[in-house]
Amino acid sequence: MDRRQLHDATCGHVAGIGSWRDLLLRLSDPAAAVSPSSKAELVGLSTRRRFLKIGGATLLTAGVLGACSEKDPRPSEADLEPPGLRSTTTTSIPDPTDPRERDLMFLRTGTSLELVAVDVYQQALDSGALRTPAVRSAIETFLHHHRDHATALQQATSEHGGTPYTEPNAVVMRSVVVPVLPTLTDEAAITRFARSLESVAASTYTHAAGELSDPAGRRTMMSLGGAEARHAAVFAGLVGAAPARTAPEAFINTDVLGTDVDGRIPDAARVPA
Amino acid sequence: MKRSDTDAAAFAAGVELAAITLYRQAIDNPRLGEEAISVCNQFMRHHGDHAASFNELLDQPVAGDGNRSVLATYRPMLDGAPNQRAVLDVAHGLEEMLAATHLNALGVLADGSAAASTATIQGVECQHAVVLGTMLGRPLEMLCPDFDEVRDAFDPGRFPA
Repeated sequence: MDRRQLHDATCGHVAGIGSWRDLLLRLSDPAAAVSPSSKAELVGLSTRRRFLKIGGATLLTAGVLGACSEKDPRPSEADLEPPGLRSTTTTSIPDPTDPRERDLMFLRTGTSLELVAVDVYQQALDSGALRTPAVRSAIETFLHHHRDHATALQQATSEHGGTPYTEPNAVVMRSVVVPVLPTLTDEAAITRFARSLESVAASTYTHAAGELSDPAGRRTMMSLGGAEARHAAVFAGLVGAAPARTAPEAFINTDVLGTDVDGRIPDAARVPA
Repeated sequence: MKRSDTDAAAFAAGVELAAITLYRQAIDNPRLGEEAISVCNQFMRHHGDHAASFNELLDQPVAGDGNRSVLATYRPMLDGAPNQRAVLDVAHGLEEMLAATHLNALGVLADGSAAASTATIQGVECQHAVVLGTMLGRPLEMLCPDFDEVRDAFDPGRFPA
């Protein structure tokens, strides 16, 4: 197999991966016309070069996406190296050491994700593409949930002495949602996308619950994370998954999302305190 | 870990072990169809993984059939279940209780790594409840409350470890 065939096979393999990976994969859709810099931003990097060089499952996906979407799709030797052989530079946002600042970061990041969901679901409802009553009802109901979650997180932010966040997550919107929206033209695509968003939110909250400094905050975080996990299961059922496939894993994964990882948002998408 | 954390982990391990025992009993019910058996088998395996995860936090792992008070409450319900729907109804109620129990524990655990483990399990119990509730035809608002709550949590006072 020559390098070009390997590249094609790799792109084909990635195209078969489901769930949140769908969302990442849409970035490789030429119709989405996502710039390498946007993809780099999503995975926490500042340049395409770094985007292609970084290691680990997420960034293997990222590297493949970068390679698949270029005019000249031939990957470099480094792009074809196993992840373990690549450099492992990670986030571009420093992790605060002050517990209060860390808590605020998680609260504000949670708010920003809720507002992404509100935005996406409102656009889905306005699109006229939702024809199945069960799907429309789920989107409507969950839109209200996300709005309530955002309000709860904003209130918690204030109670922690921070400034409530009021915008959808800029990195996720710019790098994922905006480029993908034009491709969400039918109900099945919207439902799959919604399931991905909910899975990512559940994973992000689950991770945050293990990071927050106080037990009350952890419980509050998972009162939302549990709700998002439920949403994801509902959407999995609505896209036709068999019941046993609707809750396939014993644990919510908290790794950063990637090729074979249904995970949380990258640290670069966090909202600072 | 603090004593209160150890107690919470031991309690959680006990209710997870009880869930395994109860799913085993459910699967033995001849009225269960193929799909329901598949789901129960999968969830039983998950609860085994959960019990192991909680036991990893303990110097003295919890073993056996699980929390006796939980078993004493649910076993008769399964014994008397006349059809698949009744069995799934019991399982659904059990999963909601487990989800609430772990959420409640998150508000108690002082140890961050114990909280992290518990959080990864709580969301899965929520998903189990959705799967079973969907099979029962429950309406969306029952499957998915706006916020998960601790109201239905197993109380260690009523269900001692």
